[in-house]
Amino acid sequence: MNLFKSNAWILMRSGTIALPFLLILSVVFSVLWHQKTLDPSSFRYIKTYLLMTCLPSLFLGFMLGIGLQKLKAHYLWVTNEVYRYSILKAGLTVTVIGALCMSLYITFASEVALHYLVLPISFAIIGLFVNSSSSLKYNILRNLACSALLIAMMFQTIHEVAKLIIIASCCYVIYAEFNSSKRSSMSSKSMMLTDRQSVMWWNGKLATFTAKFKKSFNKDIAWSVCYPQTKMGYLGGYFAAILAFVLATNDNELLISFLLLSLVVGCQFPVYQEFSQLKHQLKAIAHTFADKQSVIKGIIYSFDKVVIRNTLFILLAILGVMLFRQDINSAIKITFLTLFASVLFLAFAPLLLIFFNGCINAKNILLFTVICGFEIGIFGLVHYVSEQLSIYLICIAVFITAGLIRYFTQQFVTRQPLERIIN
Amino acid sequence: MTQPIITIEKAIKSYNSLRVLDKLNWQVNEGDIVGLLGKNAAGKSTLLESIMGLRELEQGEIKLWGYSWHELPQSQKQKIGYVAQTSSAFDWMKVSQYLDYICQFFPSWDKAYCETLLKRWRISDDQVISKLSGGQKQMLDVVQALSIRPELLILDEPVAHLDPNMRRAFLKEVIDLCCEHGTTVIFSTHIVSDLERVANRVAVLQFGVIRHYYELDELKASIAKLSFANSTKTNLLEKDASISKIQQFGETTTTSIIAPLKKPIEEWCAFYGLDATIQPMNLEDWYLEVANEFV
Repeated sequence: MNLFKSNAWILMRSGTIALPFLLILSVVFSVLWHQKTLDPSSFRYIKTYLLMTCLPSLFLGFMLGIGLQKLKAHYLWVTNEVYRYSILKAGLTVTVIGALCMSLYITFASEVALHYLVLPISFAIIGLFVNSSSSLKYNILRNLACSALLIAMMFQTIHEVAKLIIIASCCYVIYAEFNSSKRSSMSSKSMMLTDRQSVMWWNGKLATFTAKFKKSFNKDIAWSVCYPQTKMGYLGGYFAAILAFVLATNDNELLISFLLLSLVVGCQFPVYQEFSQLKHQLKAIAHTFADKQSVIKGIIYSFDKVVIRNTLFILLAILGVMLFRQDINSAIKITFLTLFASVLFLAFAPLLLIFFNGCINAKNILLFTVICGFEIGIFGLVHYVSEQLSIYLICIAVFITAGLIRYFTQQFVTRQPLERIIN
Repeated sequence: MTQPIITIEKAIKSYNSLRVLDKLNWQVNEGDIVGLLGKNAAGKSTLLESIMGLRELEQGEIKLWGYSWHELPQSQKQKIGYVAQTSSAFDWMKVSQYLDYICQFFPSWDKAYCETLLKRWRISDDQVISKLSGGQKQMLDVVQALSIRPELLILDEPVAHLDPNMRRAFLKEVIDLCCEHGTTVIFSTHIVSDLERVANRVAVLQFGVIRHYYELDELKASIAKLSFANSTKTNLLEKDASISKIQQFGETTTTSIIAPLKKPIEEWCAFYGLDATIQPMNLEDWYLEVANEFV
């Protein structure tokens, strides 16, 4: 039991701050579920249920998979059966419990058949193991297959077939992981991972690929603390694509707004997490600046640009769909929501440079909670209070609040010793 | 007379309750090549990073060329080459891309010299840095630091991952740099034989201070192990700061000379009335002696 507890704790701690984020998301989805006005007999009802349960469960699996990859990197994974099986069992248990926590309420509060609960659990387990191969190509194929299954489930004609394939895939994945452990003596090289399949490794590969097309890297401090694809806003583009897909199949304004908010805020945290892992690269050049304020301000403003770029991508995607639907009112509301969310995030952004590294610890949770609290407040203001108060009054209040917070956070960070930023 | 390039006065630096630098005083003169020794976690990296302005002292002052870090002109800062203990090269870039990026921060960058070093040390500029071995990455950091033709070069365990051939090549380059350009070099290392090959001064960081700081030639001329019959003059000997702890084994007393003497060893022994057996020590034995002095 102690071994199980310690493995489960290590898995969750080695995961990222996104885990509590996903739990918050599922709570909000549960609240939003009650506000739906869909016909339970329509397929759209089932689609909305699946979106609200399977998507977060899949991401839960991904996040716990990060912890699993780190544990697999230890040499004991190859040499010690007790180590291997105990981690696999702990991983599966935590994943299933997490998926149940995120889906149980909506399932019982809905009119879908109970057997649908198997789907978010299956997606969570698939997400846990989807990146566990030592071959990059194989992992990409697995991810594509997983995404294809998720999309296939949303089409009525192939819905039932997709369900069966998902459940079968989940069973196969569990069997394959436990079975590959038994073959460790024969293929120990493929069993032991170093830093491969980690998010950093994938990002590094993408950066190497992107760097081939860049002729020169101008004297910009941002190159030394984030990858080129991050600088270009690939996260914003990626989430814009997800959002556009969701909008194409849904017109629940609240759900869309909340998803927008989640993605606009959610896609910025990995940027600062990346900084925490790359900041040591500054050591070669940090001393060449006139003073430490130049270094710190250079980093702050570089990341401000990344945040703004990510937000713009997402906003343009959503505005495009809204305007195509000729839903001008929603488009205006969503533009304000995005603007407020980004401005508030930028207000706290300098603090993330010092304190945020993506791991589950008290500082990260506190920072994350405070920022999410403000953002949810903005969501409430725009959707529930803007009828009574003018949106422009809210705009002034948000900008003044954000401006004050940003002034203090920037002052605080620029006064810190350089070692606090780069060590 | 050479001018001091680095002056450190009463430097204090702590991490939580652990005091790593404890009122450290030190002075490094222009043109010196200083080997910095110390046990693991002695504070060598902290000291070097504090000199580089990457860490702030709680108390005390570090001056470079007579200026504190904040007053030091930017043009002078850009003439300092630094190699950190862990590689700071960007794994995702190619070697050429990385060096093209870095050189923009150093106006004195010598591109021709950089290319010569890359060729000499067989680092392909078309190679992605993540594909380089640990030793090659370290050499790349060294290339980056040397290419700026620095006036001050600070190296934190620069040869830890290098094979003996590469270590020799690197040390030769450092010597050439100093002879041609009068570059001042401070490098921390655990490999005492490398220090002997290139340094003219040796410093030992112990208990937060530079406990030993000597000219290498003077030191090597003096260090020796002594054994002699028990003597009443042992009390006088104990007050001499040039020796390590005195140990008695039956009727024999042993000690070691760990600091340069102002006179030949035989004269020194005669001064104390000792009829001692003198066994010369190498630098590594000397370092083990001083490192375990208070154990």
